[in-house]
Amino acid sequence: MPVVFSNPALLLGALAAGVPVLIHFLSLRKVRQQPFSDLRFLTEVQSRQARSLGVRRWLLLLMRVLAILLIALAVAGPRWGGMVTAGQGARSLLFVIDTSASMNTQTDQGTRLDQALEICRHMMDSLPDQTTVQVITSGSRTEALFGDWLPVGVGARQGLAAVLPSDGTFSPAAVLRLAADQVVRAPAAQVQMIWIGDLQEPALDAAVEQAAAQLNSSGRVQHLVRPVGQAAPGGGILAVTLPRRAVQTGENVSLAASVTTHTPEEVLVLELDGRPVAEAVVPTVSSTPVLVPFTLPVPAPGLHRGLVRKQSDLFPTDDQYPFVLEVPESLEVLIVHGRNRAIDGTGGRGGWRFLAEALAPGAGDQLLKVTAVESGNLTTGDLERHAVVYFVDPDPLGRRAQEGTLDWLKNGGAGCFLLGEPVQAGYYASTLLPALGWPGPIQDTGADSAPGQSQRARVIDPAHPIFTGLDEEALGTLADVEWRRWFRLQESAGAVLMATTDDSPLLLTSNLGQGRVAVLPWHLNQGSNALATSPMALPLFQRLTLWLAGRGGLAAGVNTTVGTRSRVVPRLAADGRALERTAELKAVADRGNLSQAADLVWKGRIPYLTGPVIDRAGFTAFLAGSDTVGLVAGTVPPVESAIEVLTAERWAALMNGWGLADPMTLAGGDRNDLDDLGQLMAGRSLAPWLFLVAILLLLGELFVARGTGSVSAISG
Amino acid sequence: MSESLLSPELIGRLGRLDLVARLVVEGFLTGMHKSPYHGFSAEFAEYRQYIAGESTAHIDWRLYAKSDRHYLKVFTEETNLRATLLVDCSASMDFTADDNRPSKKSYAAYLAAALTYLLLHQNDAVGLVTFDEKPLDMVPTRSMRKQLFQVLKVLDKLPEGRGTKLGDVLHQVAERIGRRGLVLLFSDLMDDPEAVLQGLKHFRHRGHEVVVFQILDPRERDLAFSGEVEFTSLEEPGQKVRIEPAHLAEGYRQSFTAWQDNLRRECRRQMIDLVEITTDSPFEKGLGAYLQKRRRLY
Repeated sequence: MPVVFSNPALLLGALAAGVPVLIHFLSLRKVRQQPFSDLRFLTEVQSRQARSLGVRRWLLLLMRVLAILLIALAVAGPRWGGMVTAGQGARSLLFVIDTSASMNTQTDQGTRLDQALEICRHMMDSLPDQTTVQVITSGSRTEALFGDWLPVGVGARQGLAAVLPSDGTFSPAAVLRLAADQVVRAPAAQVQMIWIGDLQEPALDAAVEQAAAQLNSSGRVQHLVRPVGQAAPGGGILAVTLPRRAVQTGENVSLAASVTTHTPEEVLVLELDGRPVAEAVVPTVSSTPVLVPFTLPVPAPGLHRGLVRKQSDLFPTDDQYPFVLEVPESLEVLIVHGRNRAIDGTGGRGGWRFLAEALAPGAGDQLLKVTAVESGNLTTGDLERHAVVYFVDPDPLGRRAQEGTLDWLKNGGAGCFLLGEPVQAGYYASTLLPALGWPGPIQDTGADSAPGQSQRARVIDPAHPIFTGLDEEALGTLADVEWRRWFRLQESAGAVLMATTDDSPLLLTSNLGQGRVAVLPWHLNQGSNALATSPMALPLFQRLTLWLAGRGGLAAGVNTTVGTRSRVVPRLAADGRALERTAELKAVADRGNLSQAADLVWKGRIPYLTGPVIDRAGFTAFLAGSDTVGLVAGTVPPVESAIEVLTAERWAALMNGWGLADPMTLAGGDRNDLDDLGQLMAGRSLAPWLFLVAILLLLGELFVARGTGSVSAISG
Repeated sequence: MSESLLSPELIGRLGRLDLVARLVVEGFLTGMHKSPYHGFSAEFAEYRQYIAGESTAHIDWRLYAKSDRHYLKVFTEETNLRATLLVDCSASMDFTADDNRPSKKSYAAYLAAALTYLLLHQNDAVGLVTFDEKPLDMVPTRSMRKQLFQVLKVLDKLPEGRGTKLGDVLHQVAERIGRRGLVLLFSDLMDDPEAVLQGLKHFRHRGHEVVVFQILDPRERDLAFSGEVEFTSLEEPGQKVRIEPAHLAEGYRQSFTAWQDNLRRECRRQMIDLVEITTDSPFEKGLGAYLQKRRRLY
């Protein structure tokens, strides 16, 4: 294993070893001439001591030269056996510091992140001067700490102070991609990448192997792993399941908290807007998640801050789980229908009037506000003011109307397509459905022309929010509806929630971009089925509408995980254009980067407010002036609550699996022990030994020099 | 007497040897509490005024009674001492390690001159022999006043010396000196010790009293040179030794001391007075040694 030097420039000091040699030879030339009376005693002494003196004189010269050489070597900081400094030449070190949520776990010496930073500083102190360093942090975001590679030293060391904790998750793929970019720019040919973190097993990510290959192709990189912290027992709230639909004031909704506990009789508290509204007790210790149900009475319309919390432990971040509950005052529903014909009767084209009545029965103060428009008169501006849009046997849409509809859907809109008009089958099959991402032919069952061929319906997924809470009688009533005619669609196009008894899909759902889409290949007129006259028409369509409206893509209240960019569609009383007249739009987080300007972006006629990437778990409120127009709850990714951490060897094996060659571990016996780290990394310092030998040589020189001189006889 | 007045450095600057001899001797005598001239003879010569500190044994108390002054009675001595000065002029005597100090040869010349002056003033007979490898000049032994001039003339112009064969020279001179007397040898004795001692024994064998003034430069004793030095032999210029004296001084001093101890021991055995003088020593040492010897003899 080669010896390397911390300060190789100081090896020039070895030239000083030439000084005694120079003095030696100069002294041979500078001889004083002295006549003397009698040389007998001199020659006598000379003959007695000349040989040993000559030898000792050369020995002295050797000792002096050696002593100076050793001192010069020692000053240059020789090290032997270091994993980082092994090999010759300048090198670049890329530190990867895990800033994920689990790194906030408390230890005896601060948090795991504090320890990681201390280790990083310690390593930097051990490095030779010519080393360049870069630091990648990965948590809520993955980024390089320095603009470019820095020489190791005070600047780099102080730069570590800018590393902030986050509540995000460590992303190996993002790290490897960024590392590949940094390695290309590294000043040294060799780059050593030192991973410092608690080594929690990361979530599976298919992109990591591709990122590893990208890094491998960018240059020769050696990987070293330094673990931090131990397994920290404790529980956490991994998730809170909210209703996947729009809720309305006054109803009771069920929430479920997924928790792990470390102590028995752990009390969970549900808070809403800072006030506890429910409590639950988990009787036993459970390291696997258990679901704890809560019943929450839906408060008045608005954006509400919810929180489920438990007793705090070593990792307190996951001991409370924030969520936003958005209670709409009303939901605007638009029905886009084809031109009414005489044969459509009172129900209108496709029975759209039945639908309107089912969504908003009577003229009372309903949650759903329904308006209708003929498809030929549809403008994109009509869509954006509505939470859900029903397309009931629409006439072929114009190009602009169709593109606008698709954009709106992909950006978070919610659309439901009731398609039951046989004469439109070609349009549906060739244009509309493929545009929604549902390719393939459709087949008209033609059941209305074949008496006795009607079908019953059955619910495929009774756990879906559309059906949850419906009792068996209600579901039986729905199943009793007679289905005469519908289009047979490919099942693979979406999730089938309801089908006929011969498995022909009747209700399919899918996501389109950020939007939510439902397709019902039938309509509500008599020729298609008897649903319009069934008591289940109202609950089915209202539930479907609330579910579609609960998509979140266009919501002002958003629940997301840390590490994503906060974005809302502001909740406005008036026209969205008023935002542009608002002087100050900002996103204010209750933790982390507290206040930043929010960006207003229009997509079509939908305003989006975008704030920073959420770094810490908690709430980020979007303010327009003094009005709260949006609220985002950022939660800790569940993977961060894992108690167990991997060993360095196991993590190295994991890296090997990603395609990273021969990772080495920088772990000593104790993950928290820094004492052996310098040696492990930079090698054992040889300077003390060299100094010791030099001192011994100098002491020996004094001993040998005593009574010693250089003698040479020149006979005349 | 101020010691500095008789320091070799100062005396050396005077140049004239007769002046040097007189100054050295008069200065030396003035400082003595007891005059060396007293008690040598019973024949009255003259009165002279008493100098404080002198012995009161020879004060003429009758004259004091008449004149109320102290006078000493001075007696004229009849010569009964023949002194022969042997001055080594070999090349090794030219050595001085310090330009401010006289060479060993100069120091020997000053000391010999002073003793000549002293001896003649005591009416002793003085002769001189200079030599290197062989006798060079010889002034026959006489007690006349002009003998001082003859001796100083030779001492003033001592020749450039060559090598040393001290043993041979001493044998030759011992054969030439007839009557028994006092032999004063001024030399560094840098020659074969056995030969030198044999030569000195020759004098003793012929009944001479011998005083050897071994004149050395201080550096010859301690070898106090710094740095690396190439020493060249003054007597054999082709012979050189390059050393760092600081590191060999101890061994050198051991050898030198052993050599001197041997000389002292052998001289003592032969009842030869060996007076070791370095060229930075005041001349009183040499003169005092002579007077001690004289007192023992007479």
